[in-house]
Formats: sequence, C-alpha cells, structure tokens
Amino acid sequence: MSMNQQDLDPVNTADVDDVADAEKELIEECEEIWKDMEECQNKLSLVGTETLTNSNAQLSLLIMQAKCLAAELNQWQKETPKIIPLNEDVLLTLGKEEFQKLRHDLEMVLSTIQSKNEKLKEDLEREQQWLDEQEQILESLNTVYNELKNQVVPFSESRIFNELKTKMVNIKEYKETLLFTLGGFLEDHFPLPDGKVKKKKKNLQEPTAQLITLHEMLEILINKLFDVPHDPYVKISDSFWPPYIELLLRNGIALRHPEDPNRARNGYGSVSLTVILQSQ
Amino acid sequence: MSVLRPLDKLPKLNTATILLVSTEDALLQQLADSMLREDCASQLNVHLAKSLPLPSNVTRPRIDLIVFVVNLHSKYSLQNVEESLRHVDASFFLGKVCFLATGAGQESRCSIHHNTVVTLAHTYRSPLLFCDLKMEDFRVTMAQRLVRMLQICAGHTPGISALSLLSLLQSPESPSLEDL
Amino acid sequence: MSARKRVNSQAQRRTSRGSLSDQIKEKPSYSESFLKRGQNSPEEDYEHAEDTFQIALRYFEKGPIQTLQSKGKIMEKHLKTVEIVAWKNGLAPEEIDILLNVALSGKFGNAINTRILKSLIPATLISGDSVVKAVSWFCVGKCSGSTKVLFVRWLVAMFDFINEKDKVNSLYGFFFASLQDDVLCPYICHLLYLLTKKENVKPFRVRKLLDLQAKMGMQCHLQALLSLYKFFVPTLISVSLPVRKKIYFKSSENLWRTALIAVRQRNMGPSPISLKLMLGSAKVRPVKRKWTSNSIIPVPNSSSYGREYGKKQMSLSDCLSNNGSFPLEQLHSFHQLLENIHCLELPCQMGSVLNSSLLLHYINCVRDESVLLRLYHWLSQTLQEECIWYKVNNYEYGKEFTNLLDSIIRAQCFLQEGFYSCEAFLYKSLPLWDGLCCRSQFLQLVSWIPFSNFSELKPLLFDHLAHLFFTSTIFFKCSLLQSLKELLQNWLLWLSMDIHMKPVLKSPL
Repeated sequence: MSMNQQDLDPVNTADVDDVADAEKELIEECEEIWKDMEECQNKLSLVGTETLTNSNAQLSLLIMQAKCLAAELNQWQKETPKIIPLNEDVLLTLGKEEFQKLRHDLEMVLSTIQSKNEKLKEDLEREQQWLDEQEQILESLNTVYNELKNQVVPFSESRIFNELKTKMVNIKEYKETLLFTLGGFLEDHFPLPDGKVKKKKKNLQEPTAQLITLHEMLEILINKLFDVPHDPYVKISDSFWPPYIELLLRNGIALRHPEDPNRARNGYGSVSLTVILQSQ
Repeated sequence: MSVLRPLDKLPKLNTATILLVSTEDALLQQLADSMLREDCASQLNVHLAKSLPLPSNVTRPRIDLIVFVVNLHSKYSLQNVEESLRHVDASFFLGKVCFLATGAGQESRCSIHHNTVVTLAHTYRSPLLFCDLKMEDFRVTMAQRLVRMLQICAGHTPGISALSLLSLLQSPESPSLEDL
Repeated sequence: MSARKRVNSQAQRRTSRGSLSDQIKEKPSYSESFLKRGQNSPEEDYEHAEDTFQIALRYFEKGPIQTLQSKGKIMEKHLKTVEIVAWKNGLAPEEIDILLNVALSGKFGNAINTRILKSLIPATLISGDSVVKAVSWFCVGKCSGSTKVLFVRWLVAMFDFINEKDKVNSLYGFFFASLQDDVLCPYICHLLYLLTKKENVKPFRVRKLLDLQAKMGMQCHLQALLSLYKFFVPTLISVSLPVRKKIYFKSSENLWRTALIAVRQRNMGPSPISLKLMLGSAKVRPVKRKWTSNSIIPVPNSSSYGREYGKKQMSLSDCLSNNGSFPLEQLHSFHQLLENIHCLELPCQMGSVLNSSLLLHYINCVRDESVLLRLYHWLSQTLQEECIWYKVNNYEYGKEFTNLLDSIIRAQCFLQEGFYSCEAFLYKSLPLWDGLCCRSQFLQLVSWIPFSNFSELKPLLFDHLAHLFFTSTIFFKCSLLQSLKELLQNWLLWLSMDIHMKPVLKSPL
C-alpha cells in the first residue's frame, strides 16, 4: 500500500517553452495516480479500527503481519516495472541527477579505497616486522638449544652427591631457623600457665603432671606423623594442657581419632606453617 | 476516544511526519531539533506529544511513524507509554511504531529493568532502540537513524515498505547475558 | 614564599588551634614540626586543610578519649576531614599505614571503621608492609566480621597499587586458612586468584579446596581458584571444570571505582608512548618508580625484583632453585629478549603485556594456558569496569578507551587469537552501541570473535548488528560487511591451523 513517490519529487526544469509539454505530460500522469490514491483512501476509511491490549497483542499482530506480508508479496509479483515517459527533457534531467549521485558515490569509494590501501601497507609493514622478529627468536632459541645440548657435563656421581649434600645442609639450616623462630613465637604468645591462677577458681585441680609446652606438643605430633605414617595417633596424656588441645583442634591443626576420643593426630593443613613476625 | 489510524488521510506531497510520544519534554525537544537539522530529501514534520490520545481540535497531517520514548529511570514514563498504546490502531504496528529506551547507560539509576522494555517491544512486535538521549553525539546518530526509518515508513524510499523493514528488524527471544 | 606569607599562615593556624585547644590536647612541638615540613602550595586554604588533616590523623591514632562530652561531633569532623583529603588528593603510604592500623585494631566502633576503610584511597602506592601489619590484626580478633570483609574487598580493589607484592604473597597460607569462614570465602577467593603463583599450588591446598567444594557445592569463586590451580599444575587436579565460563567474580570495586579512575589519571605522566619499546622508564630504586605509561594498562612489574637488593631473609625457593630470573624492568630491547628468553618471568599484572611488544613475543612462544587465563581475567575486569564509556557524561575517557581497545586489538592480531573477554564485552555493549562511537575499534573487535556456532552467535551478535545495519548509512553497511568478511577469514585460518596441528600432536608423544 505504499506509493512509489519518486514521480512526485519536484523536477528541476529549465525555463524553456518546449519543456512545458514535458511538464504537462508528467502532471497528467501524477493526476491519474492521485485519483487512484483517492479511491484507495475512500475504501480505507470504511475499514474499522481495532486497538490492542498487552495480552492479545502478540497473536493478533502476528496474524495481521502474516496476511499483510502475503498481500505485499502478491502485489510485488503482479507488478510490472513502469517506464518513465520517454521525453527528452525528463530523461535529461533525470540522467543528470543520476550522474551526480554516481559521481558522489564514486568519490566516496575512491577515498575509502585509498585509506584501505594505506592501511594495508601499514599492516604489511607491521606483519613483516613481526615475522622478522619471530624468525630471530627462532634462531636464538635454536642456538640456545644447541648450546645446552653440547653443555651436557659428563655424568659423575660424586658431583651430584655433593650437590645434594649442600642442598640438604641448606635446608636443614633453614629448618633449624624455622623451628627456632617458631619456638620463640610460641613461647611469647602461648606460654604455659604458671601458678598464678585466679583466686575465684579455687576448686580448680592443680595439674598433677608436668605440663609440656605447646612447642613440644606440636613436635610430638609431627614426629609421630613422620615416624609411623600408618598410625599417626598420639595419646592425649595429662601433660597436655586442655586449653591448648582445644586450640589445636579448633583451628584444624590436630584431629581427633574417629573412635577413640583420647587420641589425636596432626591435620595435614598445618604442615606448612608460615610464621608471621609482628614487627611492632 | 480517538484512536490514531495510520492511513486516515491522504499524504501531503513530499512530506513525512513523525510523532514522538514521551513524558520527557526536554529530551524530545532536543531530539526533534537534531532530526530537523538532518538534511533529507523530503520535508520533515516532527510532532511532540506527552501522551495519547491527541487532542482532536488540531488538524495534523497523517502520521507515518510513532516513536514511544521510555526513560528507564522513571517508572512513570513506562506507565504513560503503556496507556498510550491503547489509543493506537492495530494496523500501525505493521512497522510504523518504534520504541526508544533512554538512560540504559547508568545502570545504578535505572528503576526499570532492561528486560521489561524488551518484552514490551516484543509483545507489540516492534523494534526497540537504545540511546542515551542526554548526550549530544548519541542523539545526533539516533536522529539520523530515525530519519532514515521515517523515510521508509512514509514510502519515500522506493523498493522497501515499512512492513519489509519490520521483518528485517525482527529479533526472536534473546537469551539473557548472565550466563556469559 | 616570602616571610609575609609565613606570618599569615601562622596566624591562621593559631586561630584554628585556638578553637580546638579547649577540646583536644595537642603536643606543643606540633606547630614547629609543621613549619619544618616545607609548604608546597601557596594557598592558605591548603595549609589549613593539611593542618586539620594531620590533627585528625593524630586523633585517630591516639584512640578515643573517654572523658569528652562532645565526642561525637569531633569524631564526625575529623572523619569528614580525612574523607575530603582522601577523595581529593589521595593518601600517602604512611598515612594509609596509620589509618589501616586504626581501622582494624578495633579501637573505634564498626561504623567508623567502615567509613575509614571506604575512604582509603592511595595517592601513589600502598606499601606491602602496611598490608602485612593490617592482616596481623586479624589474629587479635578485635575487628568485626563486616570490617574484615570490607578490608578484603579493599585489598582486591587496590591490588594494583600494592608495592611489594611478595610480602603479601608470604601471607598466602594465612589467607588460605581464612577460606573456612563462609562470609569471607568469595572475597578471599578473589584475592587468592590475584595472588597465586606457581609455587603456591600445593597438594594439600587442592585437597582443601575440593573438600570445601564438596561441602558448599559448586560455587563459582571456588571453581575459579581451582581452574587457576589446574592451569598452573594440571596434574594435581583430575576434576573436570567448565571451560567456557570466563567471568568468575562480580566486580566488587563499586565503592572505589571513581576514585580509582582518578588515581590512575593522576599518576599518568605526560610522555608519549612509542609503539616498539614500551616498558616505562622504571628507575632502579623501586621507591621512585614513575608511572609513565597509559594509565589503564600497568607497567610490567616482576615480583622477584626486590630480592636482588640485599634482602637478608632466606626463602625456601631460594634454597631449592638455582637459576635467577631476569627482572622485567630491565627488558628494554629486542636483543635482551633474545638473550634471556629462557629465564624470563611473567609480570604480576598480566595486563601490562598488552603494551609491550617484547612480552607479547614471549607469550607467543610460551603458549601456556595459565598465561592466557590470567590475561583474560585482567581483561574482563578492566572491560567490565571501563565498559562504562557510555556512562561517562563528559566523554573524557573516550580517547583513553579507544587507545585501550587499539592495544587489545593489536595484541589479538599479533597472537592470532581471539580473546573471550572481548567477546563478552562486545555482546554486552552491542545492544547499546550507536554505531558511531569507536566505530573502527568495535568493528575490528567483531572480526576477532572466536569460532563458535551460528545458532549461538545469532541472537547475541547478528540480531543487534542487523538493527544497526538496516537503519544506517551505506558507509556503515560496507564497513560492517568488511569486518564480517575478516571474521570469516580468521575462522578459516583457525580451522585450517587446527587441522594441521592435530597430526603433529600425536607423533612424538
């Protein structure tokens, strides 16, 4: 139902008399088309209106769209291309317009292609540079590989043995420092309770056995873990101070034996304790 | 209760008319200015309205494209649009209606969810455009796009009708982006 | 700076002191220390503000004074001073140190701690020491759970600005143990994701994570950490993890986002970037490092740099490994890259490789999945945050954003690899794109989308492009068609490479 209104565009005509004929012809054609439109308009005004709500909108619109698309398709299939009146002046003016548009489009195409060309040149340069660099990397990697291959030192047991011994000495030293710092840290912050218990808890039993420090508890647990891997449980004796046992259990450092509540083992998570020294 | 009908009058020569409906007056005014500044072969008329139905005492040319502008920051504008939709004839929705949502950029101030507008546009089978109308550059590009759509809807572009444009712009249900 | 100026400022200070002197006991030597500091700005207002800020700092440091009646009002005033200074100029590392200690030691109430943490915006850097000290307050147990959560979120947001990251890395075990806490868990996972290095991946940690997952179900933050571990040491994890999911953590930087943009802007130097050898002019002493690069992409910073400068402590990896790695800051020429290619270490912040062509070469050779994963993570974080280009009203960051997109596209072109994070960014911002802003960058990003099904791509990409296509100029239509053509070319290249790769992989192994 849309009209091709190209014919209605104002046509620039020169002020020549013999153009008047061309104009008359065009205007007559336009009048005919306009009459057709008025007829269609009259028919249209007879069609009723219909409004939509949210609920029925989708379905009715889809049906309507389908019908209208089918009608449009029909229309396109029936239509034959119309020829513009073969009048010299009309053709001339239309031709001039078309050529103007064509020239404008071609200029745009020209500038686009020029910029594309430049971009391609840049891309080519860049890719070339990357290729060169990658070839250089490949070469240098090959040389490094060859050097390393030739550098293989004859296999000597004693040399490896000595290397391992030095490593072990280093690690043992490191372990001693760690243990020492751990011990110091634990002593500062988790000391054994001394005899100055608060007076209000008079009925607290005096610890009967000698209490061992938290450091020693941890050492026992870790040693048991490494010595007897299949049964790394330690019996809780009276020399373990109960609050420290609770501390270890609550933080996941030690776990109770599933069946026997008097035995505990080291939880794996604590094997790598990091020592945070407060530098106050 | 007058209902807007798409082909109720004969068209004026070489003229295309667009109707912008929204509660946001300032934005509409600016958008109208940008549209009128576009150079276009046909003559443009831009009508602004707060809501439908339009007062019937004014004579106006036939309307080729209606754009409903929803501001995602205010629920009131969505309500307004939903009510105005009831005064539009069903045959308008064959490509002559478009929804425009503004303010999608500032998510923190959006009181309407992105998906609400999407479902609304989907229910009425019309295209939905997003644009931040407050920023000038975006407004100008949106004005260009609207002018092009208007020309097609008014029939000034040979070979394509409003309905064919609509079928090109249709999108089925889009998946949510949350699982990306 | 004449004597007259000094007199004026002194008079000003006297009046300010006068109004406060009946309420706060001040050290008498305070004003002298001020004069010795050396004023930079000629404005009196600035000095006055500095003055009140220092007073506020001392107030917080000393702790609440019980005997005051109007404690609330003074507190409010000092908090306001701190907030204003922080948001305007940022805080120096020492000031951050003091305020962190104050906030986490539990001397003041929860609301005040929250406000202090929210306004902890660095001017330049945050020192690793202050982070370690702050974390040590967790052991004391005086700060509340919500303060801890806010602190961890702050750490994640400010991660780029922390100076000596290996100090924070030494606390890895501690952070890992805090995974037990359900509330802290997602944020700690994010922090660990940023912090993890290859030596941190240990079997017992993997076991712990799997236990947690069994207990709490499939949480995306745990999955993220597990997949990172898997990429570092693939042999440890046999559980299959979803490959497609590339965005794990919600951006928790909302509170500090605008401030971070301001900080990065401030640190940006004026010197232009040259394409070839862009590694920033990092000076030898780490203290005076200047940020002369584009503010969004950080300077490459290697974590082992500090070790060469007389650190006395021994660390375990020093004992076991013999080869030192080449510090990245000294990598300036292609020649150096060639010499040291076998012992380079990747930077902490993966985003910095985008600007450095040398590091890109290195990544191209290494072809390690974990490297790409870290890069995608950084990209998704940045693009999620910087994707706000259309939210920024004055369009100030337009140029920077275009530059960022350009470097990303160049990196993709070099590595011949499409980035998943860019794909996600594209899908999110295409519906809102107007077709003109950053047009060539967006179209180039379209041509680098990784290969996938048409049925997946259609609703995400083609429908929105169709909307733009049918309503735009012919110029846009042609550009779009060209970028789609390039997309097809890339796909064909990838598919043909895959076909060649497959027989090669089977032969020697």
